[in-house]
Amino acid sequence: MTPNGFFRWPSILVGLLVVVAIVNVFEFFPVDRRASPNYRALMRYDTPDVLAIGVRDSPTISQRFGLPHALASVAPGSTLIVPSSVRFQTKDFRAKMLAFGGVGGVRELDYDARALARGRDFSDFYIATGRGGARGAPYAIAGSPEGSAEFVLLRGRKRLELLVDVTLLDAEALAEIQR
Amino acid sequence: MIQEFLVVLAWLIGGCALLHATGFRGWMLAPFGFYAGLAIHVLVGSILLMAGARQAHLIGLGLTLFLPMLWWVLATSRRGEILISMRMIMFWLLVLLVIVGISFSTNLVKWHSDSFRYLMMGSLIAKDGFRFITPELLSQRMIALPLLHAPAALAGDIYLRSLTPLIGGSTLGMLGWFAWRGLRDKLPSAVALLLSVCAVLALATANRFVWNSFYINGHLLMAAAMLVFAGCGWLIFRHEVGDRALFALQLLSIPLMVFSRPEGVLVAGVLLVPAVACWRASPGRTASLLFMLGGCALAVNLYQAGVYHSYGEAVPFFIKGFLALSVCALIAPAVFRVRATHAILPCTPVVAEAALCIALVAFAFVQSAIFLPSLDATIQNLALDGASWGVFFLMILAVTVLVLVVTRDPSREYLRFPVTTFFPLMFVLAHLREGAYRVGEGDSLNRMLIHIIPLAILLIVVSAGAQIRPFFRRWIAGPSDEVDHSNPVLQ
Repeated sequence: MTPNGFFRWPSILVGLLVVVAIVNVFEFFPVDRRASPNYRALMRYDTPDVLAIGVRDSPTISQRFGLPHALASVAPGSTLIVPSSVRFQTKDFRAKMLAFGGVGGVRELDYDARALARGRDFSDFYIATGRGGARGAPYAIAGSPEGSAEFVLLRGRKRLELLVDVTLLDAEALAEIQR
Repeated sequence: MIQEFLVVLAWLIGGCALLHATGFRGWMLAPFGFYAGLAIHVLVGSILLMAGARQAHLIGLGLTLFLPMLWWVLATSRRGEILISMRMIMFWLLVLLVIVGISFSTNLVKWHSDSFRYLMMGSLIAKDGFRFITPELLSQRMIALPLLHAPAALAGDIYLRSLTPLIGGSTLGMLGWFAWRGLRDKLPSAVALLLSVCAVLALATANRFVWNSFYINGHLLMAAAMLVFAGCGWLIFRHEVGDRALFALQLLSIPLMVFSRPEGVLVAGVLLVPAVACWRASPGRTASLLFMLGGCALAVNLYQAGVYHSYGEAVPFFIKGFLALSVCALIAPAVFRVRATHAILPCTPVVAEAALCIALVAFAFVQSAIFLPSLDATIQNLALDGASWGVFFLMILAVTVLVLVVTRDPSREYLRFPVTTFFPLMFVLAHLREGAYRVGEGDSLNRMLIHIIPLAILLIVVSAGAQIRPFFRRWIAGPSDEVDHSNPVLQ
């Protein structure tokens, strides 16, 4: 050590770092209390299912991923039929349905999803509803009581995104999809 | 839990095998080994993914385990050397088991809307649906974190619960080791050890560090990569023993940065500046680092450009810029072989810092609608506790300024440069992405602040071994005032 200084530099740094650690400990819980729930360091959830937590606690996540999360819950492993027209859906619709919807496959067919929904009411068969379609649109999933394996995407009023079990469709609608 | 334990064990074994084969010894092999395992997986898995391989995450995991193991077996059998202590293996296996167990039993997971985009990509990788990734998603979230979480699908899950806590634990271990190795030849062992422990405690007790240790995002991974790259560069510069392992860690940190974050290319470039300044000290190694940076950046940005093209969209300006930067990094070693450049290379840090500041000033004038709200938001987030940092960040900032003012240490450039350029770079990024930073915990810059914290603490703690500037010597006694002549370039 150089003889001229009174304070020893390493000791000063030890002291400063200890002060930092002590202040950290004292302000840890007050900081946690002030933070929003998902920004609290020691916030514990009742489930490890982070997607379920996000959909439940955050309107943003619910809007983005509500539909695939609901589909994964009510009909995992199902197949989706979506219109091939690009304007109908956001670009990542297929990605999020595959990732979080438990979807086994997505088929693109040439049909008019809006025209197909017109005049048809599936509300008696709704097994899940919420907000979570494209850009936060409301969604509904209509399933048959026997269980559903294939859904077709329709576009209802007020931007409603409707996943309808194909077995619930009448012959005319089926022909429109399969033409 | 069994599947997850096996996945993290594969990273640990693969990384440890690589580092042990390259000469890394001691009890801190495991934290560095885990980090190296992640980096190998990201490098190999990303190449496979971009090449269109199916189940790239699992093949990458297998290669992460077996390639280093093969190298380790060949290296150790050639040297006739055994091995790693059984006590150490049992200790770290127990630690791994405890961290995985805690992660499964506590449900401390933290998330933000970005977390679900990472997990969506990870899930697509696991389901061989990566071709459905949209260009925006890819360019904003990149590949590394989705690739690391993708093996969670083995247990039917969408994320590995212990991944981020283990990165947090590794970061603490690596910080302590860097501090110890950096100080042990300058201070008495007890003091060096005490300072290392203090550094680890200062980080481990910080609320935002704990939060980040459970947060599904690439921020802590980026923080670890910056710490390792700068820390290893600094130790190599000081001619530490076992520097093959340190160099391997440096090389592996580059793909981790480039594939983890959109700004990773820029950050890795900034971290490379001190190495370029010391080109003459180790031209071969610096060239390898530049090739790694250029190669990774070129590959990932070409891939992104291809995805934009396949969606019929124009390739954004920033991808073209990154492509240009990658080409620059690839041709730089050839340029630096010209003797005439050697006189100016030591000035690179000063020039880069000045260029960054000038760019920021220019942006501030041209786009004041971005700069002023960003500045205001950052002041509110940090000084007025608008973003849950408490006074921690301000304390680290104040102590960093103090050590830079009071001490001098030319070899410290590797650590100092990324720390002091952090804010200018982050503010320039706000202008490049054309969006101001906001007040609140969810703000991008606020979440990126953790990138620099472990490195800043390392800079602070290793300054205990630096010389005191003459002005302060009448009050403060430093360690030996002998000048470090190990490398003349920075003198």
